[in-house]
Amino acid sequence: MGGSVKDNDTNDGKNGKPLDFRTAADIRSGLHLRDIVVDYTMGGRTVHAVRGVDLDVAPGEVVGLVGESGCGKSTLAKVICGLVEPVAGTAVYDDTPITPLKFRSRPMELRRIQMVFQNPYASLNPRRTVRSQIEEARAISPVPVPSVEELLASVELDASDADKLPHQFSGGQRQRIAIARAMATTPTLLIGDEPIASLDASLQAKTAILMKKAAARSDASLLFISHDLSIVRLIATRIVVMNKGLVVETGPTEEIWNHPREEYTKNLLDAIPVPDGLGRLPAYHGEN
Amino acid sequence: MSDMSAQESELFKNQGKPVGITVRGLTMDLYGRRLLDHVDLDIAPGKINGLAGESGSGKSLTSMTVLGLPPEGAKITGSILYDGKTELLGMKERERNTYRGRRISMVFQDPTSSMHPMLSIERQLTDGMRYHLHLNRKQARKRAIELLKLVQVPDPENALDRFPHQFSGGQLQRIAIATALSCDSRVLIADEPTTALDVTVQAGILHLLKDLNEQLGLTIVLVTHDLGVMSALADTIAVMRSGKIVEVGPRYDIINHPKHPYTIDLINSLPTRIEQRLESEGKTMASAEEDL
Amino acid sequence: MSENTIAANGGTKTAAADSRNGGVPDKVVRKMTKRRFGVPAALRTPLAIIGLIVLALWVLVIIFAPLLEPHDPLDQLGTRLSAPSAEYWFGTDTLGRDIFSRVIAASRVSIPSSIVLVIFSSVIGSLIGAMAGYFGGWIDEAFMRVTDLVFAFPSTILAMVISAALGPSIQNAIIAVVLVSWPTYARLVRSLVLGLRNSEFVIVGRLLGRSSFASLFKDILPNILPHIFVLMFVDLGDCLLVLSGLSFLGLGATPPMPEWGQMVSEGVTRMTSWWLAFFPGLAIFTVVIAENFVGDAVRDWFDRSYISGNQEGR
Repeated sequence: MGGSVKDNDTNDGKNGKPLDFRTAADIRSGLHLRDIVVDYTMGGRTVHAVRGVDLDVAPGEVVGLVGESGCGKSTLAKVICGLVEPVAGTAVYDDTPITPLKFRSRPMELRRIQMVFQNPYASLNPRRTVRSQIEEARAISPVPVPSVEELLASVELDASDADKLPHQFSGGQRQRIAIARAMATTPTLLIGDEPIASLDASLQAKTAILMKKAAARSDASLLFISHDLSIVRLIATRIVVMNKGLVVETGPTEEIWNHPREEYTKNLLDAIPVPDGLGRLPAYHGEN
Repeated sequence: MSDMSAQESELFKNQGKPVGITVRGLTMDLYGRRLLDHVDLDIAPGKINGLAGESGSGKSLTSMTVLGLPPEGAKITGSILYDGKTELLGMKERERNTYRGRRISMVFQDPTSSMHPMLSIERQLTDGMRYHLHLNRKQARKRAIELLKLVQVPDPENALDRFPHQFSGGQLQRIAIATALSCDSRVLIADEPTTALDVTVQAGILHLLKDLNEQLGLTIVLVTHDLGVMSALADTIAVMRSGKIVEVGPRYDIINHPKHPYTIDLINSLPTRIEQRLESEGKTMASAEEDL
Repeated sequence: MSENTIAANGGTKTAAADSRNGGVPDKVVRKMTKRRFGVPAALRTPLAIIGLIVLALWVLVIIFAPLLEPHDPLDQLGTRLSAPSAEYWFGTDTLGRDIFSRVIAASRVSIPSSIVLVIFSSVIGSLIGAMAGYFGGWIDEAFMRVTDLVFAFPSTILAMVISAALGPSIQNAIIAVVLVSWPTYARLVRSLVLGLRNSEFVIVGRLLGRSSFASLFKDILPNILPHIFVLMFVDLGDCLLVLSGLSFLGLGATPPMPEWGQMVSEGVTRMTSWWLAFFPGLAIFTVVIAENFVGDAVRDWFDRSYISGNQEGR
C-alpha cells in the first residue's frame, strides 16, 4: 500500500462476474426510508423513538436533518447504517434493502454508507495509528482511492500525522481524521451524526464545510444531522426538521430558514441567538 | 416571563448593593506548566461579565479559582479581591468556606451530572442553607420553595420531593441555579450554562439569567465558547487564549470591532459571518466551495 | 487536559506541533521520548525497582539452578536436621537433604507452575468473559451463572476439593487452581467488553465490514489486553500462594519432588527446627511480594498511559 491509487480489482464477485459498483450519480437511486418506526424498551417501558418517518436522500444531495435531543434523528441514522432494527417500515439504499447488522459482516453494497460520529475521542481506535485505520477503510473501497497522505491533506492534516496515535491529536483534528477515514471508503452516502457538537464553536462551521467538501469531491450524498440550524443551513440544500419522532417540516434550505411554515420550526429558529453584539435575547416560547 | 416573583419574595430582602470581584495578575503553575498567565479581570458589580475562549484557554480554570476550587497542587500568585476589599487568595480554608457557595457560587455545564442522582431535590437545595444559614428543616423547605418559584420551576412543592432523573435538562439547570443562589450568593459563575441544552431550552435559561441579574442585582460571570450566547447576554466580554486574556471590551465592540487577531478569527468563524462574507463577495455557498 | 488545544486546532501546522510539545522543537522531543521509552515513570518507583530486581534474581536462579545447588536436592546426606552452617547454608531436613539446594530446585517447580496456571486461567477466563460481554443474551446468562457458581465457594476450599478428587500431583493442583481462578478474568473482561462494545470506534469497524467475531478480536480485545495483563501480574502471587497451600496440604507436588509449599508443610511439624519452614517460606514471600510490587507498578503505568490517554505515563 501507499501508492496513490488502490488496485482496482473489481473481480471478487461470485461466479467470476465482476460486481457492479455503480458510482455515477445518475444510475444510483439513493436512500429511501418509508414509514420507519423504532421502539426502545427501557426498564419495561416502551419509548417510541421514531414514529413513522419517510426520508429520501437523492444521489449527491446534501440533506440537513435537524431537531432537538430525543427527536429521533440519531436513531434514524442508526437505522440507515443497520445498527438499529426498525419495528416497521422499509429502508432501501440504491435498490439494496438495508438489513440490520447482526453477527455477519456488512454486505458490500451497504458498506458504501459510512458515518462520522459525534465524539471525536471515541471514534478512533486508541491503540492503532491513523495510517492503519485509514488503510483499513481504503481496503474496502471498490473504486480507486487517494493515498492516506492525500486523504489527510484533504482534511488539512499533515502527511507526517499518519503515523501518530489518536491521543496525539486535539478533538477537532480527530474529527477530521474520522472524516478522512470515512472518505477513504469512497462512500456514496456519508452520514454525520452530530459531527460538530463536541467541537469548539470556532471549529464547528469549518468542520461542517470541510465535510461537505469531502462529500462533494467524491460525488457522495451527505446526510448531516445536527441540532444547530445555523450551521446546517450553511451546507445543506434541503432541510428536514424532526420533533418527537416525526418529520415536522421539510423543504429547501432558504425556504425553511426564511419562511418556515410550522410553528415548531419557527420556535426553533427564534431560539437561535444572533451574534450581532446588540444584546438581544432570543425569543423563548417555553419548553416543548 | 417578567412577572418574576423576586420582588415579592422575602429571599433577597436584606441584600445590599451588587458585589464585584477584581482579579489582578492571577498566575497559576501546575507541574511546571503555566496554566494562567497574569490574568487581569474586572468582574463588574451587577453586570453580566462574559469570559470567552475555547477548550483549554483557561477560562474554566480562572472561574474555578475565583470560586475557590483551584486544581490540587497548583501554585497560584496574584490577587482576587472580593468587593474591592477582601483578598480571597491565600485566605484560610475555614474562612474561604464562607465565600465558596455562600457569596460566590457556580452553575456547571451539565446539570444531569452536577446533581447527585440519589438525593431528592429538597435535600440538594437545602443542604447549603442548613450549613451556611443554619436554617432548620422547615425554614429551609420554605425557602427552597421560594427559590424554585424564582427560577420558574412549575409546581415547586412537588418538585422538592422528586429526584433529578424525573426532570428535563432545562428544569434541572433551573434547579441548579436555584441551588447556587440558595445562600444569597452575590456572584454567580455560570460555566457553559447552556451548552448541554437544546436551543429552545437555552433561550429560557438565558432569559432567567438576565432576569436574575436585573432584578436581584446579581453579578454574573458568563463563561462560554458560544459567541451567540455571549452576544445575547453579556455586558462585557473578555477573550482568553492559552491562559491569557487577549482582549476585553464592551459586548458590541468585541463582536463587531474585534482588534486582537485571535478574536477576529473567532468572530469570523461564526456561521453568520461566513455567510455575510460570501454575500458581500456575491457568492453562494455552492460557488464559493473552494474559497472556504 | 491540554492547555494548548486552540493552537493545535486552529493554528498553523508548526504551531500545532510546537504547542503539543510545549514549544520544544520536534526533533528534540523525539530524542527525549526515545530515551525515556522502555522505562516508564510508573516503573521507576523504589518499590517497583526492588520488585523487578528480586524477580530478575529469581529468573536467574531458575535458569542456573543446577549450577547453584551445592548438593543434589534429593541426596540424603546423613546429617539430619542440622542447623544452618557453612556446609549447609539453610540447614538440612528430616531426611538429611540440603535445604538450600531444595529451595533452589523448587524454584523450577513453583514459579513456572504459577506462570502456566495464570496463563491458562487468563486465556480461559478472558475468552469466556469476552463472549459473554459481546454477545450478551443467553450466552451471557449461561457463562455468568457458571462464574457465580464458582464464586459462591471459597476458592481455596474449592481448589482443595477438586485437587483431592483428581489425586495429588502438581499437574492436578494446577488444574484445580485454574478451575477456581478463571472467573476473575471472565468478570473483568466481560465488564470491559461491555464498556467497549458500543463505543464508536467499534461500530466504525463494523460499518467497515467486520463480522462480530472480527470486531471482538481486532477492535475490542487489543484495547483490553493491558488490563488483563495487569491482572495476570497481580494474580501471579496469589496463584503461587494457593498452589503452595495445596502442596502444603499434600495435594500438590508429591515427594520427593521439592516444592516450597510442601517443604513448609514438612517444617511446621517440627517447630524446633525453624529453618525447615523458614527458608522455603521466605522464598514464597519474596516472590509474592515482588510480584505484587511490580503488578501495582504495571497497573499504575497502564492507568496513566492507556486508560487516561496521558502521555506523561510513557
